[in-house]
Amino acid sequence: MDPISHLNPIEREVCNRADLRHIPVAGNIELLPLCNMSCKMCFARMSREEMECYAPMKDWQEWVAIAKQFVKAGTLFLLLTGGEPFLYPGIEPLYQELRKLGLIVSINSNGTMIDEKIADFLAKDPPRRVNITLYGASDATYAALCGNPQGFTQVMRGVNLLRERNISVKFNCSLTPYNIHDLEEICNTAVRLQIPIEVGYYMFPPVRANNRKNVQYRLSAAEAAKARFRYEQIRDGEQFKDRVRFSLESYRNYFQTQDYKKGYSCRSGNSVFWINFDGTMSACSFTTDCQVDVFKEGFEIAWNKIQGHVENSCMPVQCHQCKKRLFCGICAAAAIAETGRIDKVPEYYCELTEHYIELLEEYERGMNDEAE
Amino acid sequence: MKLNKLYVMRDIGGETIIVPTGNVIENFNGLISTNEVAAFIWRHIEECETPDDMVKTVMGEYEGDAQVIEKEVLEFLETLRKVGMIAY
Repeated sequence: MDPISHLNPIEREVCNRADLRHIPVAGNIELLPLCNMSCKMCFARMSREEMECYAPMKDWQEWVAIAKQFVKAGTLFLLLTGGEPFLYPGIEPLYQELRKLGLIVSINSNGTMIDEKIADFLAKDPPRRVNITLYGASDATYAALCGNPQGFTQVMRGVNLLRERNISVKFNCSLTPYNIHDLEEICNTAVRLQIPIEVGYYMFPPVRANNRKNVQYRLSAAEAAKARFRYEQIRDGEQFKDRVRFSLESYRNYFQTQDYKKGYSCRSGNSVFWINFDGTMSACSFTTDCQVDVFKEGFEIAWNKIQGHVENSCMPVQCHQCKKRLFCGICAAAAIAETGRIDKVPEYYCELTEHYIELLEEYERGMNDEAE
Repeated sequence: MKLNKLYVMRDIGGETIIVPTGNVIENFNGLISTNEVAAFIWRHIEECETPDDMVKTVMGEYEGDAQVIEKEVLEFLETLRKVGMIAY
């Protein structure tokens, strides 16, 4: 999960400098694992009983105390996520205190609980962005995937309330077998509302014991490749043909020129951190290879441990040499979540990427036949 | 002189940044990156009663042509005042 997307030039410079100096410029806090919906594929959700057996939620004052520590260490961007953050009992005072500390806060939400009260509260000191996951384009899809037969209607109401108050909204969409049929309409909804959308075709297998079985609800590698291809067709429109030609040309001429380097391939653990609802801090929500209790150890020690671990981690050497990496989204989290080890090749991703390349090549053959 | 507390000064790895919060975001929802002198001025706003005090404070810290320093500091403070970041 990247809390620092869509940066302006000043912000990009701040983040690039943070990368070089290992400053934890951005963080994610999972406030709670509870949610008012029960999406089949969810990696985070716990029932209240499951949560209470596992660990209690931290109260908002405890989070503010940790926030003061990471602000001192240089954190500027913060993403509040869950579960559903608007279910968190102390969301209002917590948000206000985080803003007073000079944090730029974004919120991940399913959007179904956003009413006038929440929208008015946010409008007083707007977050950088509310990222709403759009799970479908109809109440029927929300019923099938999320167990909420009014979900789509509720989300649209929430989005309108935010937009009426000039609060920035972005859609995220995770494709599953239960909403793939809505892909076009999901994209149309975003276009109609002029809201940027990011569609995810790859889904990490859940790493929490209570949700591991939910991996069965993600797309197969072949289906995910098709979903990626279709989404890019929709997104790129007329430019898709050029994109296919360019991508395949780059692929055919590619050879690795860089030496293998240790470390993660993204910002996680380098300038970004993640904290679970129970206070377990890691580089990313899916990297379970180094977890530190931030409430016990304090932020500075936790960050130094995680950053040091990440710096010395070895992602798969085969992936570094692989030509398909041009199209592959492999990261440390995917390696760990798929295989349990950071240095092991996640076969699901290989298969997904191979299918995707086949689809590009098939499309290219179609274009060539047409030209003849 | 008074700082508008809705603008929060942050030190990110040695770089001074000013983050707008609260309702000032309606007019400006971005970041303000400062150079060393601007950060120095911001840090000392509330210690100075008047813009002239600030000119003296800056002159005590930095070397340079007194007239240039005075002109630039006063202009900078006036800009901050106009956009509501400080009051005097």
